[in-house]
Parts: sequence; C-alpha cells; structure tokens
Amino acid sequence: MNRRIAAMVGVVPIALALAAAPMRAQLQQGSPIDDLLKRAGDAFNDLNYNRADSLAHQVLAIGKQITAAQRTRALLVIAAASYPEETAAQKRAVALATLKQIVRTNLSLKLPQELTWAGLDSLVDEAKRTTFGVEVSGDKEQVVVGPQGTASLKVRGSRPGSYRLTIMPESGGSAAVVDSLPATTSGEFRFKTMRGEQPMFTSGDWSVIVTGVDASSRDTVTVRYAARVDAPALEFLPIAAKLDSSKLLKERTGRFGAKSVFPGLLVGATAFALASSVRAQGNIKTKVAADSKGVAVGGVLALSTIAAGFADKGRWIPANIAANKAYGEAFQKSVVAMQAENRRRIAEYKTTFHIDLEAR
Amino acid sequence: MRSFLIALAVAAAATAGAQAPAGPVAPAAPKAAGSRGELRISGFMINGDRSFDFANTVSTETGSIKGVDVLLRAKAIGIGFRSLSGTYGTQPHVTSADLRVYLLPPVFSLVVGAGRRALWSDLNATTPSQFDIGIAGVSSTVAIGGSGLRTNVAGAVYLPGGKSKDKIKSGMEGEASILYRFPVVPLFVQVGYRTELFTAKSGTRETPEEVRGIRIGGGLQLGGR
Repeated sequence: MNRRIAAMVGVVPIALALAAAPMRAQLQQGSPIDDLLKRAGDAFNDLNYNRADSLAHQVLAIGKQITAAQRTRALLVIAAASYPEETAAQKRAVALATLKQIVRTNLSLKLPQELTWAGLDSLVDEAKRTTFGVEVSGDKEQVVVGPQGTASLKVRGSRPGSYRLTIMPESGGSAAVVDSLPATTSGEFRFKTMRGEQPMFTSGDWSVIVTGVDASSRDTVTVRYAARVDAPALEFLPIAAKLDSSKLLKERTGRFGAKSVFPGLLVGATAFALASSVRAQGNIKTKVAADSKGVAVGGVLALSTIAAGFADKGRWIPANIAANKAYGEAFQKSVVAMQAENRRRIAEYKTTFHIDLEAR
Repeated sequence: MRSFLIALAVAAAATAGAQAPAGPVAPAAPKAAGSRGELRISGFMINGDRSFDFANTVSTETGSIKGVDVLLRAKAIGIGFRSLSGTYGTQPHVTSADLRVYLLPPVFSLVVGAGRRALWSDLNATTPSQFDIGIAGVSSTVAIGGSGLRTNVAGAVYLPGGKSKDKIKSGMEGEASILYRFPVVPLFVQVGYRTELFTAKSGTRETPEEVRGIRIGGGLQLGGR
C-alpha cells in the first residue's frame, strides 16, 4: 500500500522521466535492452502492469542476444506484473509458471525488493517447492595442472535426481568430458583435462552443459554455461628412435687387399735372394751350392703375406671406437634427458578454465 | 650496479637451466689408426748351414744359432739389442752381440749400431777371436692391415772398428721374415730366412764364412698394432 501511494505521488516526475528515458538510458548504460528493462520496471512501479509485461516480453523476444541476467530480470518483471497486490490484476497461474521457469536454473532465487510483496514471495516459495531446479557452482577460474589435476563443479538440485556433465566445443564436435552423478540432491563433478599424456582440450570457447533429471518425476533440466579454455599446445622434444649411424666414424681402416702384393713379393724375393744369391766370396761361392730351401721359404713368406692382405678386414681404430662409444653414450643420455623433459612438460602442463556460471 | 649484474647473472643461469636438453654431438673427424710404441722381446733359432773357408778348404756344417732379440720402438726412433750363439759341428762356435738404433718410422728405418763377434772353440773357450764391428743398414717393417701379420726386410753391412779393425775385411747380414701377432694375447711368432757373411783377415790370409738358415722365433709383443 505504501509503495502504491508513493507511486501515485511521484507519477508526474516519473512521466517526465519516461519521456526522456530512451535518451538517458542510452547515455547512462548504452544498452537498448537494459533501457527496455528499465522502462518495464518503471511501468511496473507506475502500476502499469500490462505495459511492464509487454516491455519484458519484448526483451525476451530479442532471443539469444540477451544475457542470462537480462533474461532473468525480464522474467521477474513478468512474474511481478502478473501477480501484483491489486487482486484484480493478479494472474496467479502465469506468475507461478514464470517463477517456476526461473527457479529451474536458479534455486536460490530472491526477488528484488522493488518488485515483490508478501504474496509474491509466497508464490516464489511455492514455485521452489513444486519445481525441480538445478544450481551449479564452482570457481570461475580453475587451473588444472598435469594428468592428475582436476577441475570441479558442484551441482545441487531441489530434489533428488541424477546429473550429467558434458563439456563440448562451442563450435561443435565431440565432447571432451562426460561425467555423471547418481541420484542425489547435491554432488561434485571432478574431471581431468588430460587423457594419458595428451591434453583433452584446445584453447577456445566451450560449452559446459549440466543436465539434471528428477528422480521421481523424470523432469529434466538442462543448464548451459559458457567457458573459455586456455590450453596451449603441448609440444614434446623430438626423440630419435635410434642413433644416426651415418655420423659414426669408421672403426676399421680399409681392407689391405692388393696392397699386400708388393710387401709379399719383396719379403719372398728377399728370402730367396738371401738363400741363393747373397754368398760369401771365393771358394764358398763356387763350391757350396745355394740353399734350396730359399724357394720354399720365399714362397711361404710371399703367399702368407698376400693371403693375409686379402683376408684382412682392416685395422681397428681405437680413437674412433672410443669416439663412437662416447657418441652412443651421449645419445643415450640425451634420450633420457629429453624423456625427462617431456615428462616434466606433461606434469606441469596447465589447462585454465574461465567458466561463466551464469546460465544461458 | 652490482645488484643489477648479479640479477643479470642469475637470470642468465636460469635461462640456461631451462634450455631443452641437446642431442649428442657426433665425433668430429676420423683419427689415425694403431699405436705407435712397441716393445718386442723374443727368442729365436736359426737352423741352417755354416760354410767356413780356411786355407782354401771349405768346411760346411749343419747346426743352429739360438739367440735373444729385444726391440723398443717409438714412432720414429727405436733401439734394439741382439745376442746369439751358434754351434755347427766341429767348426768354431760363433757368438755375437750388438746394439742398434733405428731412425725413421718402421716402414723404412735407417739402422746404425755396434757389436762384437767372437769365434771360439771348446779348446780355447777363454781366449776367443773377437771382432768389433760397426753396423749400418736399413730395415723395413710393413703391417698387413689389421691381419696381425707384418713383413720385415733388413740388411746391414759390418764396418771394421775398434782394436780388431785390421782383422776384418768385410761383413754383412740380411734377413727377410714375417711376424704374426695373435689377436688377444700379446704374443707373436716369426718365420724367415737369415744370411750372415763375414770375412776375417790375418795378414794376407782371408777367412770367409757364410751362415744361413731358416729363422723361427717368437715372444712377447706390447703395442705395435
């Protein structure tokens, strides 16, 4: 009653204000939607319930461009305009249905002082009592570190129900996270952001969808939130599968092969010459025959040398063997170090969620 | 300013620590093969003949020489010691010892040295005929790749020297052999042929002799691969 009198006394200034409202609202808030909402509220205060209802419906008719808060505000005005103190103007069913619509995703609904009165508050209580509603809460910014880190969202229902969480890209595609809670009035979803060693999310806009199903009535409520995810690409150091053998040094010299012919012939011929041609002077040279074993010895020396040359596989090169071994050990060490670095990158990988917990 | 420099250093260290591990660095360039030093200690035997011309009468006997050979070589220099003693039937025994220095790499070395050669019989074992000699020659040892086999060809002339200078007319030696070093154990064997010629003189009388035969030996070898 007091509000009514006050409204009647102030009708002239309000009328003047209404005339200038569009321009002022644009200047003060810069939003035509907020202007419409303000005009609806003003109409309600002027007891012009039909106009308030009409303006609020205009806001709802805008569709997806309005925010969740604007939508809720519009519904509140409709509910209040449908159930004012004036009995003649009351449309209880409409008000209750509207309030139920709000309560489904806003369990803790409390009407603003300027819109409510005791009767309407009772109607809100009735709506809460008879409606299956869901409320989701949690930190708006969550940083999940590593494969074991988790993010969480709490869910509460007005009645026992089962709940399902789905997080999927805004642009469409398969869900990154799907989780569910059994019949309960409240619970907590905990989900990881990495599957094994790979991030499940990519940076961008995601939709967080929570669906609640009333255990008794099977009434289903779906709440959708927007989330921005910062999940930089997880880059690993490339680890070679095996050592690059092309960089190894030769561990043997080349085969000796035909190079053995000359030293073979030289040693063989020398042995033969020593046995047959290198002789003492005088009587010994003329009276003592050459050593016949020279041919055989020379032949054995020459053939052994040449055969060894062709059988040769090359001389070992210790310095190169050591260098190759060191190279192999360094390779193994680098593999271990790179694997450790990659494990560190996995363990320290961060996924950041910015969740707008205002239902859309 | 000091604080700034410290902060700069800490930041640089932190940046270095945060760097990703680097891959292995490949060996830079091929290295030379084989070791350069060598120590060889061996015993050997020469089975063959000794011909001895005394007063226009040639005596040839079959016998053997046994000896010890030690060689220590670095890349371009080496030192060797040889001692041998031979017995050929009824002929005087021959004993000699020498010390040699090798210059230049084994594949072609100049050899200089000095030694003493003695002829003695069982009847005058304490008063042998002794000859001091200088030695000059060449030696070539070629490794046949990594087979473990090496060839050795050597020749030297004996130069009269010392108090016995007037008792020596000429002398020389030659040897051709192959040496095989076993792959794992530091042992080697040697097979070859050796000839020594020596002509002693006393006044106008010359006494040529010729020793030749198959040389077989073996021993310890460290390095020299």
